[in-house]
Amino acid sequence: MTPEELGHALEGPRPLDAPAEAALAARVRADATAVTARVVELARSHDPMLAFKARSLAGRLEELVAGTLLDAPPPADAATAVWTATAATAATVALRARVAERVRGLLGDRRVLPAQPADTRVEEPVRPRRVCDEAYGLLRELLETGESRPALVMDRWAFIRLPEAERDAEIARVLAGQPFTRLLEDREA
Amino acid sequence: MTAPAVVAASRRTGEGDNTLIDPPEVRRIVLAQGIQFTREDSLKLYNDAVARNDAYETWYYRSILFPEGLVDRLPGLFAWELDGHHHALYLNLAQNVVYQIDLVEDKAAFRQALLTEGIAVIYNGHARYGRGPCFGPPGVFPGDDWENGSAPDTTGIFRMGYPFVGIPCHEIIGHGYHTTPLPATEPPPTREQCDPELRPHLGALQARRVSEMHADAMLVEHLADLFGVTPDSDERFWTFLAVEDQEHGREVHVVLYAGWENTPTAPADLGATDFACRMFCHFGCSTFQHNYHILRTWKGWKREGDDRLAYWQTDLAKPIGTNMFLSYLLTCPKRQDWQPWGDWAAYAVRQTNRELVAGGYGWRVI
Repeated sequence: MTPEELGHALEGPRPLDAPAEAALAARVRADATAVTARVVELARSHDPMLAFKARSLAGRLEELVAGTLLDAPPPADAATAVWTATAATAATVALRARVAERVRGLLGDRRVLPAQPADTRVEEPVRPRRVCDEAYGLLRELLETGESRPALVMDRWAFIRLPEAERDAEIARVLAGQPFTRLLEDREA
Repeated sequence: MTAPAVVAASRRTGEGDNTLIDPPEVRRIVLAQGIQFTREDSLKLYNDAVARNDAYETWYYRSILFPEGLVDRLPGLFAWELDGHHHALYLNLAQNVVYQIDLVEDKAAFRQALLTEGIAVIYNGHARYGRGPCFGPPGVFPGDDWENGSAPDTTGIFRMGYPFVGIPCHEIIGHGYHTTPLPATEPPPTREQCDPELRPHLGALQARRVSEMHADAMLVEHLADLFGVTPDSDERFWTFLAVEDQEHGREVHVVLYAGWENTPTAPADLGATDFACRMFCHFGCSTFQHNYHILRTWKGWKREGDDRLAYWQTDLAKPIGTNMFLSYLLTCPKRQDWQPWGDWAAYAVRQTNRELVAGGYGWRVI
C-alpha cells in the first residue's frame, strides 16, 4: 500500500466500519513489518556472519523491531531464544525510557485540553483537564509503582477531582522525586 | 408475543446433529438503556440535529442509536422491531457465533436479564451519582423515576451503590424526586459506608435544617416536600458545602441513603438479585469508582474462572462507547463458539479503549 493509497483509504466524512478498519490495519501492519520481519528472519540464519549482521542491524532498529521479534515463531535453539528475548527487552526498555522522558516533560504543561462536544444528558459536570493532569496519570501508569490496577484507576479519578492548586502540589512532589500519593486513601483519612 | 423466537442463552443446540457442519453458537446480549437514554430520547436528539443541519451531532446521535449506530459499524447486522421492542442478529462466520441482541428499557426487563443464565448484560445510561442503573419512560420529566421509581417494578433505580451518597440540592430539586436524607440524629457515616465522591467531605459534614439548605424559600418548600418534612421543620440532616458546577456555585449537598441491599427498591436491587448472567457491563459515568467494590466485594459476585465477567467505565462518559464495545464483541477475529469469554471480552475492552483514545475521550472501559 502506498502512502497515497493510505490517504485515500482514510478519506470520507464518517469513521470506517469495524471490519473495514480491521482489514486496513492488517494490511498496513503487514506492509510496515515486511522489512523488519525479514531482518528477524535473517537474524535466525544458520550462516553465523549473516545472523550476526542481521542481529546487529535489529539492535539499531530498536522499538521498530520489538513487535516483529515477538510475532515470529519461538526459535528452536536456546541461543536464538535468549537473543530474541534480550533484543525485545532492550528495545522495550529503551522505548519506555523515551516515553517516560516525554511524559515527564509534559508535567509542566498547564494548557487546558479542548473540551469534547457535550452530551447535555451527562449528569455531572465535565472537569477541565490540563496536559499536565493527563501526564501525571500516564506517568503513574507507565512507571508501574506497584499499585493494583483498581487502585491506579481510582487514584487517577481522585486526582482529577482535586482543586487545581492541590493537583499542582502533587505534580511538584513527583517532579521532586517523591512517590505518588495514594490520593483516595489519604484524602479519606 | 413479545419475546424474539431465538434461544435465550448460549448453548450448543445442535451438537452431534451433524458431523460436517458445526452449528454456530447463539450468544445473547441484552442491551439495557436507562432513563433519558432510551432509544426514543436519542432518536429525538438525532432528529433535532438533522433539522439543525448540525453535521457533528447528526453523526454523534446516530452513532449511539441502537440499532442504527451498530449497523453503521457492522454492515450485515440484521435489525428488526417486534411489538415495539428492538432486536438485532449478527452472524460472524469466523467466530461461528450468531449474536442476538435485545434492547430493553425498563427495570423489570433489566433485572430479568441479570437473572438469565449465560448471557451478557450491558447497561447504558445514568449512574445516578453511583446509586445504580436507572430507568424511566422517554422524555425528561421530574419525579420519582429519578430515585425509587413511580412504578418501582419497572422504573427508577436498580440500587447497587454504597450505603450513602452526597447529592447537590439542585439535582434533587431539578429532578423533583422524593428521597431519604440521613438525619443528624444518626451518627455521621463512616468512610467505608460512603461513595468515593462523598468521602473527601466527611470531615466537613454539618447538620442543617431544610430551611438552611437553600436561599430561595420556594425551593426550600419544594425540597421539604421531597424530604417528607415541613419547611420549618427543626429536623436536621447531614450535609456539606461543595461546588458541583459553575452554574450553581458553592451549594449544599445532602447525604442520602443509597445502598445495594434491603433498599426501598427491593427486589430490584443488587442484594435481592443473584446474577446468573455471565457478563455484566455498567456503562454509566465513573461506575468503576461507584459500583465495582459493591458488586465484587460487598455482594461477592467475583469472577470465577471464565464466568462472572464485569466491566465498567472509569470516568464521566457519554453513551458513545456502548456501540463501540458491542461492535468489537461481534467482530473479535477468532473462533468463539463454545470458547471461554475472557479473551473475547478483553479484545472488546482493548479495542474500545483504543478508539476512545483516538477520539480524545476522557474515560476508558475497565
